[in-house]
Amino acid sequence: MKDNEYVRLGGILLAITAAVALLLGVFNNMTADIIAATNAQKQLDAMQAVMPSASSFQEIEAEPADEDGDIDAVFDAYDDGGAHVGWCFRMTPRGYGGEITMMVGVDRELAITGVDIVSHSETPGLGANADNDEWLSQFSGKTAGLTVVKSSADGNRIEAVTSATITSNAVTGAVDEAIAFASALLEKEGE
Amino acid sequence: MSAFVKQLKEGLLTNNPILVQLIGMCPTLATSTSLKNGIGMGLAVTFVLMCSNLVISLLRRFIPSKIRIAAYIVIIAGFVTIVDLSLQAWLPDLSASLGMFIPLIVVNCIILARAEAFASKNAPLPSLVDGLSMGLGFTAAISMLSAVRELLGSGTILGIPVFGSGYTPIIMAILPAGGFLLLGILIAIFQHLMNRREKKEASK
Repeated sequence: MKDNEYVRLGGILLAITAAVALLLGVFNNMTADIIAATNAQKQLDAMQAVMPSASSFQEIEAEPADEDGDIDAVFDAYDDGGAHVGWCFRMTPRGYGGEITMMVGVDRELAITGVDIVSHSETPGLGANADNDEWLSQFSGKTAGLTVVKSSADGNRIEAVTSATITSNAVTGAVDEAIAFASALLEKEGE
Repeated sequence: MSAFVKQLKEGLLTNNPILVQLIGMCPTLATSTSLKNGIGMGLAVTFVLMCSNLVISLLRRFIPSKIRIAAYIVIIAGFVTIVDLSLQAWLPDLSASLGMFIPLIVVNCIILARAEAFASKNAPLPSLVDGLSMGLGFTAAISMLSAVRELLGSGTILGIPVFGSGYTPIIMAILPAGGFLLLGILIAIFQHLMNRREKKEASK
């Protein structure tokens, strides 16, 4: 008698779970393509923002030197004529509030063409201020060996976001890592 | 009709989930950093609350009490996932700024509390109205809090600057500590107004 009770309870829970699963399956079918398209568009927008001279991008298989590094994906960037103009790196450094997803563009002179933050969970009003075109624009044209300073920036120095040293360091470190990897890719080409 | 008005009044004022019942504090404090987030979160909770109340009320005789919590959570999680997928597909910006807090609606105690205290004991229509009323009460309170926090902490309302460039934002207002303080002040003001109203009615 007791056994029957468990089977009945389990059966009811199974029926509810199955109905919810079916509903979610249908819903996932409806939205999956739209979500994938939105994300792909977001990525393309970010790549175009950091590498304005390029018009098409191709993901490449590249082994980062450092397994624990922040490099998530590497893309070759080509201009209208099909010439290789540089690389876009999708980086995921750890900020203050979690992972920051950002796109870094590096040209064949190993200079930064642009940096864009795709998503982050930094503190609003502090670390979140890093996601600001004015702050990110100071990376443009910079080369390897970046350091973060609290006073005004010059040379290869990056002025930190006020009260957000951890975020500033995370973003700057990732940019530096992208340049280092671009230089490794350039060397490999020469071989 | 009067029952509908009474239920609506309960959710918005006399039994407001945030200001009176003090439940659902975590998403309230975490997502009220800007008015847009607050309204988005409020409406997402309202939608889930209405759907889950309706379905749980319809199934209230079918779900045995021994497994009711598990059954409620599965139903609630289902609706939350639908909201999450819809936001990702059609409102990607809002989805990005609310982030983890949409999936976390599953464990928002307002929803489980209304399922347990109301929907499991009442007919579908009143349960749907209860979901709407509690959801709107939540939305109203979180919108008020997030409007104050955004105004003080960023100097903007819905992203539009209101104070001009001379204003230095009080960053603490959008940090967790400021959220607690402002929520406390909001609750105090609300309780004061409710008490005064009650006294007035009693002296009549």
